Amino acid sequence: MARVLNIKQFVIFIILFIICFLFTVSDSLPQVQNQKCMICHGKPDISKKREDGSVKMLFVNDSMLLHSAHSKITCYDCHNDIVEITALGHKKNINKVQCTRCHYDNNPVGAPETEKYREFQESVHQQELNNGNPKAPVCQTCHGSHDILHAKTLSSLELKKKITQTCGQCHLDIYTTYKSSVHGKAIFDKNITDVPVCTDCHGEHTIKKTDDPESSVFKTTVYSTCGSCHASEKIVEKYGIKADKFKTYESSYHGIAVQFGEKTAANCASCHGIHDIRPQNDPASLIHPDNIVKTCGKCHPDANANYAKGRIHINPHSEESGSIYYISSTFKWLTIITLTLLAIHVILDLVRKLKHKRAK
Amino acid sequence: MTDNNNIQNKIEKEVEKRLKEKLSAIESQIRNEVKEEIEREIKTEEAAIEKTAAEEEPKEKYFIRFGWNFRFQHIVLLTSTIMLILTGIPLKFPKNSIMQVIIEWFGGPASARSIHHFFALGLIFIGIYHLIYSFWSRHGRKDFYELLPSLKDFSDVFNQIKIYLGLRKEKVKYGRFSYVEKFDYWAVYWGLIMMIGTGMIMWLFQGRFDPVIFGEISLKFGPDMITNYVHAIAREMHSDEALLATLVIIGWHFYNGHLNPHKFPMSKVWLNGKISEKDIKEEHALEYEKIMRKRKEKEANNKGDNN
Repeated sequence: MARVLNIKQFVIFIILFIICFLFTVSDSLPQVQNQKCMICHGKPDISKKREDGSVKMLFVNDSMLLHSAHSKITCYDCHNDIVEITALGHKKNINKVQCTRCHYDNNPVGAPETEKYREFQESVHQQELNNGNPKAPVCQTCHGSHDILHAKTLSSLELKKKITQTCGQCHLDIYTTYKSSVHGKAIFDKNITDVPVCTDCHGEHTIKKTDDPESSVFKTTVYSTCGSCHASEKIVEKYGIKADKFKTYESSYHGIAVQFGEKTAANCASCHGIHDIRPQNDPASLIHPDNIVKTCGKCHPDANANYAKGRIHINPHSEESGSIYYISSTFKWLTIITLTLLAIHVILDLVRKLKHKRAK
Repeated sequence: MTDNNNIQNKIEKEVEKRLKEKLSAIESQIRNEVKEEIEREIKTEEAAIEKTAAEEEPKEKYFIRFGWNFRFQHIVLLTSTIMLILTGIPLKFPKNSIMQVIIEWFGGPASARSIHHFFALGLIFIGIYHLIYSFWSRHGRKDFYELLPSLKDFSDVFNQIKIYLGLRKEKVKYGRFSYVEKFDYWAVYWGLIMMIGTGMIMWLFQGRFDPVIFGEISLKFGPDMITNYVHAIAREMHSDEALLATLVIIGWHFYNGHLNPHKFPMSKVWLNGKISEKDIKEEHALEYEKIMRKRKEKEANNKGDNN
C-alpha cells in the first residue's frame, strides 16, 4: 500500500522545494553571478597602472550595468578568458572583449546581428586598426562597454548631442569647430534635431576616408549628401533656407563639372566650409560678402570685387531671379515658336516630296 | 589502153571541178563570218564612242554654285559648330549617360572645355573672315546683296505654302538664294553674334582662357570689366541659344540639306560647289534664267566682235 503524505509533511515539502528553486534561480541571475567580480570591481578607486605609466580605472558601476543593453548577461560571457578567480584576483593581461563572440549571423544566444558589423570591416577605422594604429576605435570606443545602451533608449536630441561628443573624444578639434558652426549652434543652443551631426554626413559603420571615392563626403559626391537635407523643402524651408539651392548648384558650371567627375570643381564645402559652415551674415562665414573674393580666390586667382557683385545660386525658372528669369523664358518661347514653325514647314515639304516621288 | 587513159583524165577533171566548188562554198562561209566579225567590232567601237560622249555630255550640264572660298568657309563653320555642340551641349544634360560618355571621350570636363575654347577660336576666325569676305571680295559682296531679305521672300513663303496645301499649281521661281537659305544664313548671323558675345563675356570673367593647343592664356583685365551678375546673364543666354541653334541645325538644316527625299543622303553642293541643270531649273529658276540670258548676251557680243 502506498504511503500517502499527510498535509503537514506535504506543506514542508513544498516549502523546501520553493526554497531550493529560489536558490537555483537566484544563483543563475546575472547580478548574483557577478557578485564575485563586484567584490573588487565595485570599489570606485580600483585601477591599474599600464606599462606606459598611464592609469586605467577598473571600476564597474553595478547599477549602470543592470540598466544597460547587456543587463541579462554575466561578466564571464564577455570576459570569457577569466576562468579562475582566487582571493588574489584573476590572471593578468586579460584580452580585450570581442563583440563578435556573440554578434554574428544566426548566433544561438539571440544577439542582434545586422549589416553594420560587416560594414565596419570596410570602414576607415577598421583600416586603421589593421594598420596597427593604437588609437583606432573598436566597437566599445563608440558604443561604451559596461554602460552600453540601445540607441532607442535615448531621445533623438540626446542621441545626436551624444554622437558629437562620442566622435569628439578623438576628433576634438573638429568637435570644437563644429560646435560653433551653424549646424552645431542649432543643435546645442536651439535644440533643433533636424540638424546633421557627424554620422549624418560621414555615415556610421560605413565611414570612409574623405579621399575614398566611396565616401559620402568625397569631392564629387558630397553635394548629394548635403542635398539629402538641403534639397528637401520639408526640412530646410522650416528654417528659412531655400530648397532650390541644391538644384541651382547642380545646374551651375561647378555642379555640372562635379557630376562629370571633375574633382577640382567647387562643391558645397569649397565655398561654404566643412565643419565650420556659418550663416552668410556671420563675419567669419566664408560666404560673408567681405570674404567672397577670398573664397573664390582659392580656385580663381584673378577673382576681384566683381565676383561678389550678383548672386550665386540663381534659379532661372523662378520669377525672383529677375532679369535671368525673363531671359530664360524669352528664349524658351523663342525656341518653342521657331521650332514649331520650322517643323510645320518640314512636314509640309516632306509630305509633298514623298507624293512627288511616288507619282514618278 | 587509151580507154584507160580517158577514164583517168575524166576522173581528174571531175575531182578538180568538185574541189573548186567545195572550196568556194567554204570560202564564202568564212567570208561571211569575217564580215560579221568586222561588223560587230565596228558596232562596239561606235557604242564606246557614244558612251564616252554620253559621259562627257552631263559635265557641261552642271553649274558652279559655290566657289572654293564659299565652300572653305562653310567647312570651317560646320567643323567648329559640330565640335562646339559636342563639347557644349552635354553640359545641359549632366545626368544623361550618353552625354557622360561623350565628355569622357573628350577626356573629362576640363579637357572638353579646352577643346570647346579651341573651336570657339575657329568660330570667331570664320566670323571675322566672313565679314571681310562679304565686303572685300567681289563674289562675297554679290552674294551678300543676294542674301539680303526682300519683300519677294515673304510672298515666296506664302506661295510655297499654297503649293504645299495644293492651292497652287505653278512653281515658285527662286533667285540665287531661296527664303530657306536666307533664313539659314541670317540664323547663323544671329547665332554667331549671340554665342561669341556671351562666350567672350564668360572667358573674360574667368580671367583665364585655355584653348587646347595654345595653353593657358591669362586675361587678367577680364574680371575688372565683368561682374558676376553680367556673367550669370551671359551664361543663361549662351546655354539657351546653344540649345535653340542645335535644334534648328538638326531639325531644319539637316532636313533641307540631307534628309529630305529629294537630297537624301546629302546634297554634294557644299563639297564640289556644283549643281545640275535639272536642280538649278527647279530650285533657282530665276538664277538659271539670269545665267542663260548672260550667256546669250556674251555669245551675241562675241559674234559681233568676230564680224
